[in-house]
Amino acid sequence: MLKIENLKTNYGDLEVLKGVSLEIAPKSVNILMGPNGAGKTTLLKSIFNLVDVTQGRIYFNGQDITGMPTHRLLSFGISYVPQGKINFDSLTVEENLLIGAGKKSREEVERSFERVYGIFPILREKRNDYAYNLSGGQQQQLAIGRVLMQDPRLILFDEPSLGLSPKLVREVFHTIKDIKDRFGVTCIVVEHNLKSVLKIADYGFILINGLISYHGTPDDIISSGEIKKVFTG
Amino acid sequence: MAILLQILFNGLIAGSIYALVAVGFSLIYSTGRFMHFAHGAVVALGAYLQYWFFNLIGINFYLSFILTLFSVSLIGYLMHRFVYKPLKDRGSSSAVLLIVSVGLMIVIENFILLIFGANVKSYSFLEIRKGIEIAGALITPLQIFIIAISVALFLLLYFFMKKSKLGRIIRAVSDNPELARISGINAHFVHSASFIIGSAMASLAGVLIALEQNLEPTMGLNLIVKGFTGAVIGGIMSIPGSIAGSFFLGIVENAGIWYLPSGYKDAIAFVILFLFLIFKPKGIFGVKKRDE
Repeated sequence: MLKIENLKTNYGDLEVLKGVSLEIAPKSVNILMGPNGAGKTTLLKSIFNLVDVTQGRIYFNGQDITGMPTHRLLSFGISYVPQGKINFDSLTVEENLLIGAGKKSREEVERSFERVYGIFPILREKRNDYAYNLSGGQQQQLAIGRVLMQDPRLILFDEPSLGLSPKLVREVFHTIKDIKDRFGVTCIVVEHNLKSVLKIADYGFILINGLISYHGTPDDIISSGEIKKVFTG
Repeated sequence: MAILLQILFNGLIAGSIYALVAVGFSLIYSTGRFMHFAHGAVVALGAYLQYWFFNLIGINFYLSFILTLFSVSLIGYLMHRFVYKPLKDRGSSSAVLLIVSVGLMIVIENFILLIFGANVKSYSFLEIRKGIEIAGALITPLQIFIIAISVALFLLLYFFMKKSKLGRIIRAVSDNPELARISGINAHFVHSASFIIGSAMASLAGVLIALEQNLEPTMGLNLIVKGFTGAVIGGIMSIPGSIAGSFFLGIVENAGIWYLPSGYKDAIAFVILFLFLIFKPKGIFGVKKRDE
């Protein structure tokens, strides 16, 4: 589904990704782990063309998408949920979802609304509330809902558990698994919260110092002892 | 009572003019995140283009206004496309863009001076009529017209921003430019749209002001200072806020010069500007955010 070959990315003179190669299977949840500064977010941003790739290629279903403009990536079905400010705070819930809908027709928008409200009923209830009035968990639901309006085939999540309580973290991961199961969407999740995330993952990658140091199923990763490196580098 | 009402009338007239300048400035600031100080000169350009079409060429006043509206919107777009955008693409900071905007203002002012000269001009379109007396306070029909047009325009802008798709996209970009980009919104398109809409409002402001006052090449500087102050008072990121802030400024200024010599009018504006920048930099209606 997604294939990355020898990807290198720099911030100024600093080389962050030093030749990352990986392959992602369709309809799977993939975890990208690693210590701080290993380049996890940079890898997601490179896929979504938010940073300049200096070398290497990225293929999506066989098509070269390296350096492709955002609106074209979205039309291919690739979406990105960033960390930090994940919603348009001064827009209502429904307006946030409409931003995700892009150029869809009215009927298509209605269908997408039903789909999103089906997964997150609370968003229907709060559809006329401003996003800044939502709780942390609801904010994350709205961000995922907005991305689902884009009919994605691949979603890149950058630390979706950031700032959430343990109970909400479990809920978010449950949602990610649910999205994969119901809509066949492939997910790449950058995450620190390994215990919760390995339970829902199909596959994991450990990124250390700009290179993939290990990859395998969650069981492989746990039994290999490689997981310690995520904390120690 | 009559005095209070008169202060209120004068304040509303000044406020509606400031607000017309402030909304365009605020719109451009909120989407592009830089101070387009040349916006005041664009107002002056609007006033002078109308003078050129109406007084010099002799086209019908209303047709002249339509021509002015289109020309000024186009000039606003060209400023964005050929001055600000290339600099932004090269990663220029907002400070650089601010200096550029002051440069543009000087260029436009001097261009007006070169073409039209330094003499004070007037459209002489409406004959000066006696004011209407309301409970002892005087207001001219033109002044009522200015207030009415401004209020109608603000309502129109409000509904455009609230209900239209483009309005929603403009609000999204002003709320979170990075997320807007990730969501597939074309920032260049939104910036162009805010320059076109903002400049169109500036041209209307220019013509209305010139109906009430005289035209001078440097009229834009004073207007942008007042418009900017109004925007800061209300909250520069919020369009309704900058409208309210401008009316507030107009009323306070006029109340102030009731007690102080009228030469202090601009000083009052500056004192209010400083007070807000020090104590309430986000303004009265500063946009609420979760993390603030």
